[in-house]
Amino acid sequence: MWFDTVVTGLTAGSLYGLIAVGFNILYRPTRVFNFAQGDLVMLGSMGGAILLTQMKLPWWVALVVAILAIAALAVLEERVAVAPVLRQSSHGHAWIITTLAVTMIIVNIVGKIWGPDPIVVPAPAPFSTDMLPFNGVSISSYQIALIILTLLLVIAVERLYGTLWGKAAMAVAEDRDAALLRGIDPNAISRWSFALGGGFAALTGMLAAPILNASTLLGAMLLLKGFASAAIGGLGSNQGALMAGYLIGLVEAFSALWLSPGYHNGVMLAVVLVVLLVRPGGLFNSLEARTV
Amino acid sequence: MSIQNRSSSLSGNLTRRSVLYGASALTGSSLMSAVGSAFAQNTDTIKIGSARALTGLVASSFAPLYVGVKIAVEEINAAGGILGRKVEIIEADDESSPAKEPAVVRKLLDSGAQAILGPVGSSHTLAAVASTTPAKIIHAGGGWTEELADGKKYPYQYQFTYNTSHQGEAIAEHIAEKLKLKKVGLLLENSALGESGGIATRRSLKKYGIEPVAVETYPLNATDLKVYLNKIRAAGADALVIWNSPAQGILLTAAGLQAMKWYPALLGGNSMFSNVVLENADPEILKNASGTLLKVFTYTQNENIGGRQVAHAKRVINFPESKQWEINAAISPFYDFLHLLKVVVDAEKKFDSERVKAAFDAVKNYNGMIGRISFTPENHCALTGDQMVMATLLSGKDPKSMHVFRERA
Repeated sequence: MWFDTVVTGLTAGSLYGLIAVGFNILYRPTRVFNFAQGDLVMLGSMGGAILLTQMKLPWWVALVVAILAIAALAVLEERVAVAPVLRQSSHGHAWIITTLAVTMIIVNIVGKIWGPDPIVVPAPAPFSTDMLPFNGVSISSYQIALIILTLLLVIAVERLYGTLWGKAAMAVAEDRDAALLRGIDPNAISRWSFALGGGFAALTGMLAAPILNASTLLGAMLLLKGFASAAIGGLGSNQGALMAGYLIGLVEAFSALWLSPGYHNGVMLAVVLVVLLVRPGGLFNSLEARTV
Repeated sequence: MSIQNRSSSLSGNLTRRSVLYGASALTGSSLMSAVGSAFAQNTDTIKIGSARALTGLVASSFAPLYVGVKIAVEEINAAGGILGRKVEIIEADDESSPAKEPAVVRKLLDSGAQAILGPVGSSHTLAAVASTTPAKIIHAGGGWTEELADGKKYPYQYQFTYNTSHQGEAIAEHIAEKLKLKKVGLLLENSALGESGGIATRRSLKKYGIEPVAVETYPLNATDLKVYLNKIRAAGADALVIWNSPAQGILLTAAGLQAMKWYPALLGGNSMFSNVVLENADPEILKNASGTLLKVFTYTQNENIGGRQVAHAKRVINFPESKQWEINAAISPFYDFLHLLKVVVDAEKKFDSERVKAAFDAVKNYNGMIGRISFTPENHCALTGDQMVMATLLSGKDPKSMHVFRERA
């Protein structure tokens, strides 16, 4: 039962970590926390599921189409809901409202199109969600692949910030106006960040679907824990997001094993509170000193 | 009459003012919901308010339950209406949020509604009765919790359906009398339905001298139920009762059982009958699975379905919004509510809430689509426990089921 619980925690933790990395991809260069990120994950999952189960497209084709579509939707969100408010005040917070508005619009639209009944999505070949025949051990080839792929994706995203584009994004994050004086177009960086964040959300949704099924409830199911992972990992830190995702996943799984029923979310939030009280900047980040 | 979540610590950018700004914007959005007539507008009509989710997460999932409204209005108007006046349905959108129900009820009343039906869902209905009760307006909610059957607490609200108490009785009887099992595990979602269903099941099992060997409650955003299922199996359960509303919980349960290669007798409420469960769950699991269903919507080898229910089912399955949840469309509480309302008001020759309430409270054995309907001033649930049975999930693949009926377990 112990190994099963660890597997459950690491699998869920990988998904929470991926959600948190999606937040970070947008947050690092823009300082915008996209409240619609959970819904982009949900749309990626539902869109991919429909391409797979109804249009019968191969998994890799469905993945590419879903990533491109959600990336385009995220750029649209940036153009309509974020860029205009940042133009008025680059240090303003009106994006809180506008990204929440995007969430509400998405939820209202999907609620009219799809019901809450999930779409069962098979794991991409050659993987399977069937348990491997190890003596007394419950783990599927897809769970192993998901845990490994999550690690590879976090490494890939971190390497991205070593490229010219990544350094430009970090320069915009440091000082938007100074970056502009150095010939970097913050608007272009912002657009590309949203595209990348949207595509990452779609990828997360597609990876989550074989385990959690594709449903309109997926965004709400993962958003809080993804946000908690980003917060306790340290906003902007992808390694932190991954570690925090694993921490939350394992706390969740073991609290289900040991504690009284119904307190699991409370335990998870208590862990978040304790970590932030001890390290307000998160596990892998330190507080910034700002002149005001 | 007798009628049968420190913000600056996180980023340095989020401020309390920003968060309050966002919250006020969300609240403001509630002002955007609208009241609209779904049917022909006419001043000389009997207006019935319909509180429902037209937008938001549950809009399409609850839509099947309003198919019964369309059919009933068509039938009633074809038969001359109520008091000789056509019935007009006025719809108000609760945006899938229980918090919006008081405003929705207010709008419906301001629009001239003489009675209200909906919303669907126990928490939504409980939020609505807080407004319909003081307004003293006849109300048929779409909730399944036992509390809504309390005629003393909610004297103007009527439950034209079964409730969790009846389901608990049917589940307990099936486990004790038919399956002859003694070790029962309960897996409950952390919701009003899960709590109410769990209480009802434990209470009914106690009548048979059975105490559950394990009771596990999982959060609605749980991503894996194997940990809970492992605990229930370790406790020795040979029957598993699950209480959840969305099919996702059942699918996660089925995935967990399949991973564990554990196939206990699986019992639950009517959410078990979701087509997505039937199409995707492991056949080994489905073989031992049953859900609660109204007796008149079930059949046996020797007992056929009633002609009236078959005719109703044929109409219901033709509505596009019925797809995936044909059963819920067919057993909609609102169909019988509207028909009984016509009978009562026509008999009283006046649409007066107090007189309609008195007449509803005196209804005995009214031949409704969902079964024999009776009310008392204290009990506002239309049905009795004996009208609820267990039905097999696999029979949903039988052409005879028409996606609506199921074979009795």
